[in-house]
Amino acid sequence: MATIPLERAANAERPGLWSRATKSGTPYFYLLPAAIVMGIITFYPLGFQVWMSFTNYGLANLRLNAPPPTFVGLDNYIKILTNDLPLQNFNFLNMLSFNLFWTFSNVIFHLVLGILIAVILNTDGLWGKGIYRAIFILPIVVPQIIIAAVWLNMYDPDYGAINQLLAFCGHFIGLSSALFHIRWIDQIDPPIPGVPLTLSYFALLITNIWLGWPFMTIVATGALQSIPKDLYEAADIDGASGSQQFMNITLPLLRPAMVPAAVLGIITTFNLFSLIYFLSAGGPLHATEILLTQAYRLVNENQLYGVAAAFCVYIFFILLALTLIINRVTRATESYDV
Amino acid sequence: MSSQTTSLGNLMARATGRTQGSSSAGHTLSLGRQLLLQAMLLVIAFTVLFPLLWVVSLALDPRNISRPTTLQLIPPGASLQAFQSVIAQPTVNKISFLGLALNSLKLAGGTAFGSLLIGVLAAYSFSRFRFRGREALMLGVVTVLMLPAIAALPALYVLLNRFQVVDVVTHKIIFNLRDSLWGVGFAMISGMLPFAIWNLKGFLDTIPKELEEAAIIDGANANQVFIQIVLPLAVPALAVTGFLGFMSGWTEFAVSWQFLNNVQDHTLMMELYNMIGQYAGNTPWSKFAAMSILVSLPVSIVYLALQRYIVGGLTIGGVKG
Amino acid sequence: MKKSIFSALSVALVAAFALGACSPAATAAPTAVPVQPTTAPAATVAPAATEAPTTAAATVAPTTAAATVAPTTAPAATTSGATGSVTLWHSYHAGGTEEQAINQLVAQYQKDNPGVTINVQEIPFAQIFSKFKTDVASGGASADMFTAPNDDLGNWVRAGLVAPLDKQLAGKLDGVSKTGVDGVTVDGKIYAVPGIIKAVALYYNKSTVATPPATTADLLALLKSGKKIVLNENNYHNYGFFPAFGGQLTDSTGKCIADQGGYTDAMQYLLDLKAAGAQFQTDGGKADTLFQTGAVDMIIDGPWVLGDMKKALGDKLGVAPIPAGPKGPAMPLAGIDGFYLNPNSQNTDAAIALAQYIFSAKGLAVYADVAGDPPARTDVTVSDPLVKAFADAAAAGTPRPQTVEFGNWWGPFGDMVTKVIEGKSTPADGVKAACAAMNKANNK
Repeated sequence: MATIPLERAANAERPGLWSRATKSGTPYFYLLPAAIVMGIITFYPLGFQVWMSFTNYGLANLRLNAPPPTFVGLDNYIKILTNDLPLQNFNFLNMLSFNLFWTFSNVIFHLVLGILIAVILNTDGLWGKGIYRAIFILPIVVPQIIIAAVWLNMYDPDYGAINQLLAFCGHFIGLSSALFHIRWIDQIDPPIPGVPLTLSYFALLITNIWLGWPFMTIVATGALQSIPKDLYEAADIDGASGSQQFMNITLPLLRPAMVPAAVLGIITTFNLFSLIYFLSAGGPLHATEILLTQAYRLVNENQLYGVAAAFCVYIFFILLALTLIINRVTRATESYDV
Repeated sequence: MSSQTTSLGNLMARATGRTQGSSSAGHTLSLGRQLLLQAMLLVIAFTVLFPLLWVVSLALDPRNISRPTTLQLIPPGASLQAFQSVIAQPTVNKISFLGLALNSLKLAGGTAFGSLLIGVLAAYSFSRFRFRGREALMLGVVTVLMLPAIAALPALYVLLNRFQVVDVVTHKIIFNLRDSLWGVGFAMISGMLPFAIWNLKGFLDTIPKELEEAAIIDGANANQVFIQIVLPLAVPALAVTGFLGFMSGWTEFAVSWQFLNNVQDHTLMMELYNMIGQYAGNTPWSKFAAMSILVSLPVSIVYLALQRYIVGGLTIGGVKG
Repeated sequence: MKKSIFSALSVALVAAFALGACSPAATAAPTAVPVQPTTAPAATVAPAATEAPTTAAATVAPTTAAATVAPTTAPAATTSGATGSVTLWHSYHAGGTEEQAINQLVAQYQKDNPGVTINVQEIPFAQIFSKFKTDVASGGASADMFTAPNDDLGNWVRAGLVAPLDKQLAGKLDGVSKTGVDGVTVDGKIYAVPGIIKAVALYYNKSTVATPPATTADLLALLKSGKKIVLNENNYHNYGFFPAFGGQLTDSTGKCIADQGGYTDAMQYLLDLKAAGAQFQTDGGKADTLFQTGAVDMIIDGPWVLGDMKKALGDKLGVAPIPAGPKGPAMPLAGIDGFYLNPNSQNTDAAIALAQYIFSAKGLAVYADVAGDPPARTDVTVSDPLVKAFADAAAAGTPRPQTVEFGNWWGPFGDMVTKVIEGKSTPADGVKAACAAMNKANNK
């Protein structure tokens, strides 16, 4: 594997030098604003939320001089796990597994498509590269609520563009258009028997793939452009085939750039609130509900603040576990000087 | 599995002309291959553009139809009337597009700027200094890295609601921090700041220390090193992080909807939801489409202005092995 | 790395507890404790007794407040010196005729009372209740008043979210029908300014359906002969069928007994309709569009879209009661739209005055003409036969119960309708499960 000499050597410590420039309090001084802000607005609410989760905090406790909520111990936590809430079709473990599957199935598609398209775009002598790049940016700059509304319209069973397109294609193989009133969002039965994924999931998947690969392409493009051409020429001289070059030069050199991008993609997709909330609204009977949309509903629609707090504590630990696992797998943060 | 990846590699290699024996430097593409690639890219561009062109078509359509029956880019009788009515007052609520945009701008710009300013200081500290408690504090940042503001919404809602300025005589609430753009801004920064710190630290780690060390040898102190040397070098990183923060603020919906009641505080996303929150059959599609285009423009402009930095900045963090 | 993780986490946890324990300092003696739920009042479904007298609503001898008067005639009595600002929330369809009606009335009131500033805000229907609730509960008065159906009034009263208005409305509700007043009364106190009575009925296209079906059997026959109907796939629009098939929701103790018959037959009937070609839509707007464009011949919907339906179909539009079932007439849920007052409002007098103006005889005449909403008043003559049909349907319907038990009907039974119509559950199983869930939520 070719390695590129980088700044790691340059970043080696030169002991004593830095202490010349810094007074003993300087690091803390630089850290102070962040520490204060994060302390007040990130950590304190999280701690408060833990307290809330052990109470039955609700509407009655919102007012300034309202009575404090009563302590209910682990009640909220147990109720969430045993699906004992006054909500219909609430199943915590299903939601969690759907959320995880949703995240990884999406990111895989984003990565693969993003890299492939970036490689195509990077071809020497290709016409109109700039135009294509400008076009491919567009999904990113449109807010998700708009994308969800437009695609929701496209998934309309009777007049939507997707069904019309499918009917058009089906026409050529002799299928009648009556077959193509597919109820993408509303259909409860999974299309593939045995696989518990509703059509709503596939609709969301298609939309999010449309939305997600441009970002990976941008990152990959930048990384591709910094791969020296000599490597490929050297490989040519050595007699490596095209696919060997792709596998052994392109992909490994893309890896450092794509790994943080993939991590970012995992984070965003796991917490993809707006698209799911507005496109499938949690899917038919909450089949496509993710943790974040359910947490929002608990606060917004049900005003069950204590339960919502317990739910969010669950989310915190799940996300923490996910972060640690990802860190371990990608060693993304270890390459920094922790 | 490996044969599949090999054939994929073959496909990529053939498509991009990088097969055995071809020299890639300065080699122009054969016409056949060019056309093949153009065809593929055109199909991809079509899939990207189709929904967006449809939005444009809806925005120009004077008939305010909810479901277009034919796929035309420029509908018959195209007019800019939807744009005009959106700019004047998008929904029935009495606030103009400009008012909404200003609110969104305050929110997005304020939180992006705030998280950048605070974040770069903290990131520099983590990146360059060694001090007691560094690991623990970094860990603190990493644990909340993936946590969006919505996951702290119960606590944020309840806590920010307690900051009220109440008239003791009439018991009227004069100011409720929760019901203001400040409250929404604070809630959003709670989610944005850890990410900004982590991202900026990653970038700063890749900047070689030699320049700074040279300056220190010349007698500069840490502050001078930071302001005069590191900050200019970190501009791409700042651009990327600022852009991501701005976008996240501009498109924020959940927290603002939950917190804000007063129409004068509404953001663009909230009014967009007002339009579609009714049954879909009543959505004023032309106005919605027109507003969508107007809302997407600022982010596009910011992106185009910072494009060079963004693309460079996104990959700096990567090219470090 | 591991060790530091554990130590950091334990520090964090301890800190969290410490912080959490410090912050919500218990105040002194609790002040406004929300009203404790009283024991459930009598059975929710026996509707007949209260309904008979109100059929008079639409047929009272014409008074001076003629139905078709334009609102710009003599303005209503101004409350001299009304000042300040009043913020009013509504959730009428944007661009619809109800919104037109309220804007017209508010504009007129504003002209007559220049000292008052009125802010009208539209909030999507799915969100207006939770927004109002949280506004009131947090002590705010972003809205001084809002108008909505009495969907959840019982729960709000029990949670202290609406203020009783008996004092302010004493003697001022003379023109309101009894159903109207009952609809906004909980435990003997009045909590809103009542105005409109709404229940769903059968819209039909006169050009394709000459006579509307009188019984459920007739409707099924019509479908089998090729006519089309679209139904909303929820438990509100289809509620009328349940009593028609003899279904009774709860017994006198509030326990759900729907699984003892009636409900199952009604759901089976809906499935029969579906098999005969009826469409079921989850998107109400789309269902309305299908009817307006003539793609279907009939739809069950409410008077809030009457204005839009009239615009689309003109003379071809007909309204009839939902067909009667084998065990009795259809009795759809009849709700009262009223103006609810925020207890934290600083301008209650002006707000109530505005509400009374909008829901005065003249105001409701505007609503009836422009939007098609039947008034819950006895002193308004409705000349439009379509609006009268809705008034009759509401008069014959089930007044929406305000009990705690009924509040827990919506979730399980809404779910049940979806599952049964979509074929995920048989009618019997679905109703049984819904009943069990409802009883569980009610601790019965």
